[in-house]
Amino acid sequence: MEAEIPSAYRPGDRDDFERLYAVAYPRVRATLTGILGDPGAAEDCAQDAFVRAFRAWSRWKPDAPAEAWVHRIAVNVAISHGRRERLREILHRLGSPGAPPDPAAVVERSDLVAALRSLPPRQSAAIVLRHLHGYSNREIGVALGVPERTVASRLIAARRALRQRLGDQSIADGEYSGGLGGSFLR
Amino acid sequence: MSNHGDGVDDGFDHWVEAELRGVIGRHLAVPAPPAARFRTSATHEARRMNLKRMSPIRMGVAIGAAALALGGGTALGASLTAGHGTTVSNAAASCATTPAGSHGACVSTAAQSSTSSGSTNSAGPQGAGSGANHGAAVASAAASCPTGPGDAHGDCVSVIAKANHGQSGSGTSGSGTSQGSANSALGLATAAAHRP
Repeated sequence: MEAEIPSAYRPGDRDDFERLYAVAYPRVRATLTGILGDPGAAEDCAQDAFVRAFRAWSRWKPDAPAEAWVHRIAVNVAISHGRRERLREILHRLGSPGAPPDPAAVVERSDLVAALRSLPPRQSAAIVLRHLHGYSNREIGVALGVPERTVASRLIAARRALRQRLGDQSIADGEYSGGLGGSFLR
Repeated sequence: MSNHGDGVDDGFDHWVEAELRGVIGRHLAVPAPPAARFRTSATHEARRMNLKRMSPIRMGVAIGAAALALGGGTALGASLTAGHGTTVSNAAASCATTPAGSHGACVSTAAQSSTSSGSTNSAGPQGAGSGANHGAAVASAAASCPTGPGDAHGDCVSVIAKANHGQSGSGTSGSGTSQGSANSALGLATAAAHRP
């Protein structure tokens, strides 16, 4: 997250929200793509998150970075979306006419993204915020609405789960051993 | 960036960073779409809030104005309907009775002019049709009612007019009942005319 002057945005100001949208939207969309693994769903959730943020914009408190605040809303939207998707999958398995997820929409074929999808959304969000956006624990804490220590424990748990999942798979496929400096497969 | 002092595995973190940037990082380069959903939502929200924020006084004035408009329209329609009877009654009282036939013609003219204005304003084409039937019935009564002593003729015409108006207005009364009332009025009037 770039150094953001907290007072740069004024709560409730329409022009400031437009600025926030232009600056933060690409990062929010990327975060949601990492959590959901589906760019289409990420786009939809990002738009939904900004709608919710706009409604609450007059209540935003400048003591927290605006982008982290929007991220918190976006992660919650993604969690709700994930619940709906799981319900839809269950209904589909039970034979209801609910449409199944379109495989063509999931263009991110990365094993890492697939592994991130299997994590709890707040853990995958912590990984994406740290490793894609470079947020500090404090910033991630603001974005997820949790203390820094919780962020640290979530990151550790997420890494452990990813290593286990990807390590097992990489051993089976034999494709990641060179790219991880050996440490990944320990 | 990968070493944040929380006991991370640098090799794994480097790989995660490179992978995320390769797969998801390209989304960062795509600017925010100009068609933002919150802008559309803002328009709807503004409309909703405008109605919600309307002060109780303004809301009361609006409701009062609507009630007045409704009540005024109803009263106007009622007065137009009632005004017809009054006009005919006044004409019956004021029109000269001589020479023969001039009284009926005078009342008929007043009744027709009143009916046409009233029906146009309050009842439309259907009302006009009812008004024409009513006028014909009154004209017929005026011609057939005997000109007896006192106000027998006027009473007879009035009774027939009222009976016929009831039929035209309600639209559910049987014509036989109305015709019976008219015949009965004619009989009473005839009897009154022959009374010493």
